[in-house]
Formats: sequence, C-alpha cells, structure tokens
Amino acid sequence: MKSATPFGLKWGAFYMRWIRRLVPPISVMVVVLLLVLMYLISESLQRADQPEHLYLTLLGLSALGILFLAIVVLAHMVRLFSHYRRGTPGARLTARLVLTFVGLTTIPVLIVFYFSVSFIQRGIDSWFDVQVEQAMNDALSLSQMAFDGQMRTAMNETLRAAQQLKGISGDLIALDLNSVRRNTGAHEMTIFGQRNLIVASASDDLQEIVPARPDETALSHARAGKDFIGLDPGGGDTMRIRVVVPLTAGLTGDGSSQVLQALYSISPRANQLSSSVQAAFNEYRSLIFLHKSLKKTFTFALTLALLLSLLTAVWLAFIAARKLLAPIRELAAGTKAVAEGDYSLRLPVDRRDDLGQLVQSFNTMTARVRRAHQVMQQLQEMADQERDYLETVIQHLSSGVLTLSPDGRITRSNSIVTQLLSITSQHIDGCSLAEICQTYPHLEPICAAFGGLLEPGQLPAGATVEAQVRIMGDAGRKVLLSRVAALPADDVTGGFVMVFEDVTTLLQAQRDAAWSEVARRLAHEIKNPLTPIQLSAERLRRRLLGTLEEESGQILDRSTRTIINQVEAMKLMVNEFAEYARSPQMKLTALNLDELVGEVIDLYKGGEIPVLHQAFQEPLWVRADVGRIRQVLHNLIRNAQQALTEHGCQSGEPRVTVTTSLHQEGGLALAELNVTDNGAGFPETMIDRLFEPYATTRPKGSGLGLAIVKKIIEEHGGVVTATNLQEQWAMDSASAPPLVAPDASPWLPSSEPAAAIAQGAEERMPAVTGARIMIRLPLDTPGLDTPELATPSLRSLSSLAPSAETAVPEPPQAESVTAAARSGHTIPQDLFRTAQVVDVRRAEPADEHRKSALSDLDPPNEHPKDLDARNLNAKPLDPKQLDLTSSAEKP
Amino acid sequence: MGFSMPCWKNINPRTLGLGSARALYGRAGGLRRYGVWRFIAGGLLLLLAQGALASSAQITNAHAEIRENVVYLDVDLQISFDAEMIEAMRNAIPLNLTLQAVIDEPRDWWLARTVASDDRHYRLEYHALSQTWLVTDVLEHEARSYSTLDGALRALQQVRAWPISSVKRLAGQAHLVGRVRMVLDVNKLPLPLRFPALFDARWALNSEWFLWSVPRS
Repeated sequence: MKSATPFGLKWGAFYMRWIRRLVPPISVMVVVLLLVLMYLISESLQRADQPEHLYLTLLGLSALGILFLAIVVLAHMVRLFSHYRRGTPGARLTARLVLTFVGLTTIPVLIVFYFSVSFIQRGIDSWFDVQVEQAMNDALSLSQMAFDGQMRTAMNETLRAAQQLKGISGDLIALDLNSVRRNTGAHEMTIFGQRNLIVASASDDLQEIVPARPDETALSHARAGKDFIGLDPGGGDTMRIRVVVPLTAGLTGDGSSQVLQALYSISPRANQLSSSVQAAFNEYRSLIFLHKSLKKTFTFALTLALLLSLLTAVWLAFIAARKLLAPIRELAAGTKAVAEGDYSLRLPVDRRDDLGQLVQSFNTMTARVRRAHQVMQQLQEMADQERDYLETVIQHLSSGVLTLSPDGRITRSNSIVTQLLSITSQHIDGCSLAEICQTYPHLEPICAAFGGLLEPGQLPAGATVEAQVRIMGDAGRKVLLSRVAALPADDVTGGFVMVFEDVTTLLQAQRDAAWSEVARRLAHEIKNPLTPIQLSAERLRRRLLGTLEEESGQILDRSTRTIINQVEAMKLMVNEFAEYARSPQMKLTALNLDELVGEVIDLYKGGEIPVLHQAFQEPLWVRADVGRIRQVLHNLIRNAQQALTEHGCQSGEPRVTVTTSLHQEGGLALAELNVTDNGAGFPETMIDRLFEPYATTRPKGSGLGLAIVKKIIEEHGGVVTATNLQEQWAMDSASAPPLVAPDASPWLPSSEPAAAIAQGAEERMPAVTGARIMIRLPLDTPGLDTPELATPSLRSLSSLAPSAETAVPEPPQAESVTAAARSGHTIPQDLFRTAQVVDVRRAEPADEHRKSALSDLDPPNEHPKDLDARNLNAKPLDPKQLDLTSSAEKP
Repeated sequence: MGFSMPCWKNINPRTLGLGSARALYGRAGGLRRYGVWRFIAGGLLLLLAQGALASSAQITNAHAEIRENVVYLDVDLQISFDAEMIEAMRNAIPLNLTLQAVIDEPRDWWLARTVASDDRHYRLEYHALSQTWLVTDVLEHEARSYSTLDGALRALQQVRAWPISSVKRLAGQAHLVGRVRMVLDVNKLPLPLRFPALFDARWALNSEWFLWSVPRS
C-alpha cells in the first residue's frame, strides 16, 4: 500500500505532464478546425446544394470544439486564480497581462459583433417590401384568374357529358364514356359508383392504368348534388383541371348516385407560366416566413465566430503571458531561493532579448554570491577548528582558566576551574563573579581580591594582578594562586582572563620540608650537649652530695635531679624531633579500621571524658601500619580530651566521638575517620597551620602531635583536614548555604543552646559547636599490593594501572615499606583517586556491597560550606598533653 | 450516449425513453443520420424548449399479416400539427415525414439484431395556386392533392398493405419484435429551420416506437 501511492502519484504526474504538453497543439488544431467549420457553415448558409446532414454535423463539431476551448481557457483561469491566491511569483503580472490582452481583443470583437448583428437584422428586413408582397399575391391571383375561363368551359363540357351519360345503361356506359370524353376534350373521365368504386374510366393516356381519384371533399360535394371544380397540381409541373359532378344512373337499382370526374389538361405554356409564378411566390413566402429564423441563424453563426474569437484570444493571451513572463517568474523564484540561502540555482538562458540578459546577469550574480558564501563558510570552518583547538588546549590545562566579558560576565571556562573552585554547577557561563560568590560563599575571598578589578577601566589592558587566595574546598583549605589580566580591548573581545593554580600542596611541601630540616638540625645540635650535661650533673651529685651539709645537699640533690629529669625530657623531645624527621619503616597490613578504633577506645573507658565510637555498618579495610594508625588515634583522642579539659565544652557533657564512614568523592571511595569533640574548636589563627610542627597555643606543647598525625596519614596516601563544627546560620537568606554540614555527626544536638543561636544571629556569624579532624584513607585494594606502593607519593598513573590489572587478588598480609618522609605531603589526591577508580572497576563483581554503599553516598555538592576559619574561637592546645612517644601500646 | 449503456436483459422498450429504445435496438435509420448531434445538442438545450407540445405524432395501431409470403403492415397514426407548422406549410415550406418500420431479433445481454427494415417517405405541402394540399409518396413518385389539410392528414394517417419483408428472411429466428414510428426529417427543412426544429417543441413531430407482433407463417 505504501508503494502504491507514490506509484499512483508518479503516474498521475506523468499523465498531467503529458496533458499539459499536448493541450497547446491540440488547441491550435481545434482553432484551425473551428475556422474551417465556420467557413463551411457560412458556405452552407449561402448554398442550398450541400449535403443534407452537413449543416447539423458542422454545428455539432463546432460546439464540441468551442467546448474544448472553453474547458482549456477555464483550466487556465482556475490555475491562474489559484496561483494568484497563493501569491506565486508572476501570477499577478500574468493576470494583469491576460486581462490587458483580453480587453484589447474583446472590445473590438464585441463592437464588430454588435454591428454585424444589427446589419444582418436590417439587411434581412430590407429584403421584404409590402409592395413586392402585394405584387406577388396579385400575380398569383392573376394566374388563378387566367385559369378561370378554362375551368368554366371544362365545367360546362362536363355537365354536358353528364347529361349524355345519364341515359346510357350500365353495360354500355363504359363504351360510350370514351367517346363522350373525346367530345368534351377531357384528358381523363371516370365514373365512381357506390363506395367510390370505379364504374368506368376513359383516358387519353393509354399507359395510365389506374385513374386519378378525387379526394373525399370533392366526392362528398358531388354526392350532395353539388358540382366541384378545382385545379389539380398533380405530381410534376403539369396542372390539370378537375371537375366532379353528380351522375345519376339506374345501374345499381338501389337509387344511389354516381359521380363523374373529368380531368382537363392545361396548355404547356400556361403550365410553365403558372409554375414560374408559383415558384416565385413560394420563394418569397418562404423567405418571409423564414426571415426571423434566418436572423437567428446568422446571429447564431456570428455568435459561434465570436465565441471562437474570444476563446482563442483568451487562450492565446494566457499562452503569450506565460511565454512572456516565464523568465520573470523564474527570476522571481530564483531571487526567493537566493533570499532563502540557496545559491546553487542557475536559471536557463534560452532567449537573447533583454530578459535573457537579465537572467544572465542574475546567474552571474548568484555564482559570485555562491563563491563568496563558500569562502565565508571555509573561513568559518577554519575559525571553528581554531576555536575548538584552543578550547581543547584550555580544557587540558592544569590551571583553571576563566574569561570574562568587559562587563564582568563569564564567557568561557575550563573544567578545571569548577574543580579548583569547588563549583558544583557545570554551567557558570554568563554569570558574573559576584553572582558565583553569592551562590558559593566559600569563594568570597576571590571576589574580595578581584571584584573591584573587573570593573571597566580599573585594570589597564595588558596589566596583570596576582594574589594568593585561600578558600575552603571540599577536601579542606586550598591556596589558589590567582591572576587576572585585562585583555586588549579591541572591537571583538576585550574583557579579562583569570587563571587559578592550586598551590596548596606546593606551599605545604615547602613548609614541611623546612620543618623537617629544622627538626633534624635542632635534634642533632641539641642532642650533642645533652649527654655531657646529664653526665656532669650526675657526677656533681655523686661527688658532692655526701660532702655537703644537709641543707646544701638537699639543694644539690634537687637541682641535679631537676637537671637530669629535664635533660631526660629534652632527650625524649629531641628523639621525637628525630622521629619526625627520619624516614621510618612501615609495615603495611590489611586493617579493619573499625576494629582498631574499637581497640583504642577501649583503653579510654572509664576516663573523665567519654569517647564514643560510631562504626560504619560494614568493615572498612585499609592497608596501613597498625602501630602508626594507632598512634594517630591516640594523638587525636588525647588532643580532643585535652582541649575539652582545658576549654570546656560548648554544650552538654564533654565527649569525644570517633566516626568511621565510607566517603564518595568524584567516583572513588575512601575510608573516612572523624574525631570530633564538642569543645570550643580550633582558633582561627591556627587553623591554617594546625598540622605544622610547633603550631600550638599551649605554653609547653611541642606542637608535634598533629604534625606527626599528618605525616603518618600522608605516608599512607591519605589526607587529613581540620575544621570547626558550626551551628546553623542564623540568617534567613534564601541563598544561604546548607545550614548544617551534611556530614556533621548526627549525634550533634540539633537544638543547641538558644542563647548561642541568638548570639550568632545578632552577630550574623555561625557559632562554633566543636572541632573535627577528618582523615581519609584509600580503601584496601588487593590488586595494589605491589612494592611501588612503598613510595606512594612517587607513584605514577602509568605504573599504577598495569599493576592494578596484573596483580592477583590475595589476602592482605603485612609488608614493610619505606615511606618517603619528605614527600608525603606531595601525595596528590588524584593518585589514590585514580587507583580507586581502578579498584572500583575491579572490585565490582567481588564486592557488591561496596558498590551499593558507594551509590548511597552523598554527592560532592553536599559538602560543608560553612567552615570559616575567621570565625573560630581560639582553642589553645597544651603541648604537654600531646603524646610524643609515638608509642601505640602505651596509652 | 445511448451506446455506452450496458445492455441488460431486454425489457419492453415502450417503457423506456427514446434513447433507451435506440440503445436496445441499435442502428435505427434516424440515428445514423443526425442522432448523435441531435442527442448532444438536444440534451443541452431541451430545457429551453419547454413550450406547448402542440405538434405530435402517435402510432395508434399497427397490424401485420402475411400474404403471399410477404409481411404486410397496416399502420394507423394520429398526427396533429402545431399552428406554426401549418403556417410554415402555407408559406411554401414542405414537411418531409418518414415512417420507419423495423423487425428485430432481441438478444439477451446484447443489442438487438435488425432482421428487416423499411422506410416510407412522404412529403406534405400546400399548393398556393390550386389552393390544395399535396401528399407525395417520395419513393413511389405518387402525388395526390386534397382540398383540405384534414383530407391530406386522413390520407397520411392510414397506411395500408406496407410490405416490410419476405417471410423467408424471418425464418429461423425464434423470437421477433416489430416496431414502427413516424419522424420528421429535419434535414429536409430549409436551413434556418433545421437547428430550431431540433429543439422546438412545436416541431417535435416524432412519435414513439410502436411495437407490433411479427406474424409467423
């Protein structure tokens, strides 16, 4: 069925095309035929000797021809009308031209028609004259009178013959009839008896077998006893005089009458003359009778000619208009096509007149436009390719790049920008920097640093402004080296370009390296004199204690003990420094994090400050050195307890909470360990340098506890961050960030003291409700148990990927690796991210529950944005309370 | 038009119109002469001529019998002329009347086959000099004059002993139907009258076909 319709349409179009091609020649033939028919009709009107059927046949053919022409013209009109209504190019001009042509032809033709018809009417009327008619009637009467004498004579002769025949009996009458006829001079004489049967007949012409019968009128006249006389035209030109008289004879015996008919010939001359008069009279009478019909016939023939002329004129007008306007129509269609963007059109040039030149010019013009368009398209493609290339380069830069329009709106950005700035939306184009800072409050420092520069005229073209900006990202604080430069303000672009580089790890590495060096040298320099001091003090005590007086002895004893104890303490501190600075051996084993946390927390049971454990519902396996992680836990828990002891808690009972969970970030899974307290939080001034050595507010603290924590965690390929927990923002701004950190511990009281909230509301600042140190470690991946892991900071993607593929999963076992102490800070997030991606891919079939756990994780955009170090309350740390022994077994 | 009609099983053609009778009975004489054009033009202009049907011809009776192996037909007609026609005759315009008789063999699902046919041509005219009406049998060259038009009409309305066909030609056909009618020969009229006579009711002198039974020997 589907193919039937196109087939039918195809054939329909085929036939329509042929019909359109055939109609003009057929119409020409019809017009010629009609002209011939008109001539023949006009001939047949003048001549009487044409075949009988010709006239009506010609009329019928003419009617058909005119009908055909009318249909052709009607079709043209309908087509023109539909084109006119649709506004087809050239239709209005065609209509106007056709109307002009038709008007030019119709008016003279109608004038000629009108006068012809009136001339015909008057001409035919002028044929007739009253006098002529009277003369014709008179001639006829005269002819009749000419026969009157002969008729009277014939009557007398017949009556005399009747008298003669009366006395003759039946059998003899037939014999006497002929003689009586000869006597009277009659051409034929017949006696009719009963029922008009012929009784006897005598004729001059012996060949006539059957006598001529009188009509019923004459017979009935005679039977009524009256005489009848009249002219009998006969069959040909010979007229006769017919006399019928009653003849009574006793032949039948019943008394019925008989009738005698006598026919008398007329002289040939009289016959000829009378025939001539009769013919002329007939001609004239018929003309009089037919003159109305004749008028109608002539008018009809003229009308046919008029119709033929008009239809032919209209048809030719259509043809002429079409021929004349064809190039204009094509030009109009071509112009429309060019206007719609089709430059491939080329019009046929088939005439050499002005229109042909116009078409030629049009073709030249479109060809040039086409070439120009092609060149433009090529240039456009080149520009697009160039732009795509630049786009690709920018996207692959490790620095974040933003371009801004002169009015400060972002016109383009690469994907690194959103990562660096922790922007969750992928569509920041079109936004201004201020709008972005409003949406992402943690970017406020950037706006503060550069917002004023992005106004027109603030930054001269080519000038560059550079600043280090600290922002709070998903994974903690970031230090961004940001530059903004004004682009040359030409006609096209102008505006600004901003470049961001993450220098957090670089600065951290510099700091760590410096501290390690300081610690190593300090330990070396201090350790050397300590032993002589201790030995000297002991010698003094041994030699002099017994020799001195009691009072002096006591002083010596106390002093030397103090010296010895302090030197011992200093030795411990120096050893700790040395520990921090050296590269220890690590024994990596598969470790269930929650199990270890449980073990450590058990040791704190019964203390003043309770330590709670919130375990993840599933085991979190990490590959780590058990002793070092245990040391980390002790350091953090003690740190928190000491902070609570010294500064008190913000709300409720003081407590320390250790939480483990699975963290999802950028498609990789990490084991997350949070140590939280509900104390006063970290001081704002310290929070950036919390993990640096000697970063402590306690008068006697070494400031090495958290530094060691950081060192150990980085040696394990993890990250550690410190944040203050804050209560909900008191502001009721609709665009305010999430009020509570989504990953804030659920046991934090949601209804913290109303006073604190009220105070926060007054100050428009969030209140600190506690401190949190968060550690993230890569989950254990059996496939990654390779020696390359010994220096995780130096692992490369290329070395990682094949190892992930080739390694055979096996039970976790202890191994010893050397951590790169000074490069631990350089462990990039990307490293274990990539490893984690491999891990997820490989672990899928074997570890379904992990996969499901991953899918349930919070999306990255729900990370806290409310961490602002500027609002932290000071929380001094007691260096004495820090456990610097690095002993995991002795808490 | 009539020829394109499908030919169903024959029914009594008297119930059908002129065209139907022609379609059924095929090549009648009048049709061959001017029927097609008459049909086309007549169909288009018939509505223009809804005047009084003053002229008429009707076959009132037709009877055939076999004498000496020839089928003879007696026909009785009823002819009445419109005043226009009488006036035309009085103005020296003769009328040519044709009596057509046909014997058909009807066939199922097909056109009837004409077995035999014959025409009689009469001319009726007024002779001004003798003031008589002249009836001429054109083929027989026999003319008779009548003092009155009624006398002439009476002569025309009775056709006696018209030999149609020999019995031999009719032998073998199982079923035969005869038909007869009177028509006015328009083509013999003066030229200006021919076209109007086709569509003018005053000149509509053609009778319907009258069916008569063909006697079998």
